[in-house]
Amino acid sequence: MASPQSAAATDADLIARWQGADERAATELVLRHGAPLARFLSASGAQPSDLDDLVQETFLRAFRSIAGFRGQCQFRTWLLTIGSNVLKDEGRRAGKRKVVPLDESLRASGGSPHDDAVASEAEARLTGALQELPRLQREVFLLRAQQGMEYEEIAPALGTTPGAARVHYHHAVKRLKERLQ
Amino acid sequence: MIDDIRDEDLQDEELVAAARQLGVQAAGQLDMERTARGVVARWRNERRPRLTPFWKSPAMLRVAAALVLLFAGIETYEHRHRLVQQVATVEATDAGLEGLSEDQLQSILPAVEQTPEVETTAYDAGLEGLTPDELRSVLGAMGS
Repeated sequence: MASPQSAAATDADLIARWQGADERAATELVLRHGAPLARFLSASGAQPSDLDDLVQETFLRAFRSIAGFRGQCQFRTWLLTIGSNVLKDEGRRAGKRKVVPLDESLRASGGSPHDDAVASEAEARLTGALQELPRLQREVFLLRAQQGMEYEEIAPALGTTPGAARVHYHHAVKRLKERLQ
Repeated sequence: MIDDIRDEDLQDEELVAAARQLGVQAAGQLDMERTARGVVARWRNERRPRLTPFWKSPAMLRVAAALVLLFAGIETYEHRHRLVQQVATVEATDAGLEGLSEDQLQSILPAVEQTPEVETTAYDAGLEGLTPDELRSVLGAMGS
């Protein structure tokens, strides 16, 4: 769907075009960052049935406040932190934190039923353990471990320092290991 | 303390590998083209100016408020004007009798007797219905 021209465009180019009311730029941004955002939201505890709406709401919130994005971090990092806020607001609205239940994660995905069940159970346990972490630790862990970002990139998006982000990550890993053993 | 922490000490490869798989299945079930269309449609809907009935437009509400104030002002002015006129009439009527001496009142009595129906409405309501005899008794009382 993305044209060769838009595939070469940087996020900054697309944001500038979007601010000039180019809807194709908005579509390109969603196609480019929607899937990583959905994975981040899912790992943060979003229900699969809510995922599409949460992704849309995150992009809308980002587009509403895009004038405030000064390039202090990558667009994707900024987007993921907005997604985290959207999820928190939705959880508050629902009155409770949404955690992926074990039975919902036990779905066939093309592998053998046994392998799928083992993999899904491991994923459900990790997702459950992540919900027990303080929010900052969870976000740092996911941005680094799941999204592969550096501390220098994570820190400004979360309003902290790279050193503090590193400490949060280490605490998160320690706690997750204890929880999963 | 921060510098003492090293990633290699954590031996978190398995954890990172598991984290990379989190949400892959759920995200894979989304149709991103459809999600993008949804985002753009919702954005357009947010940006579309809300249609307001003509009579509810701010300009019309201002005109209506101005008209209400104008009519209220006119009505107040007319009411005050009527009151002032009534007071002036009463004062003028009162002055016509109160300023007269007993002799002067005696002198106008024949005229009142001769023209009992002349401009009675212009005089004090307390005197207009009196007969000459009653007026005499009133004058007597005033003189005493």
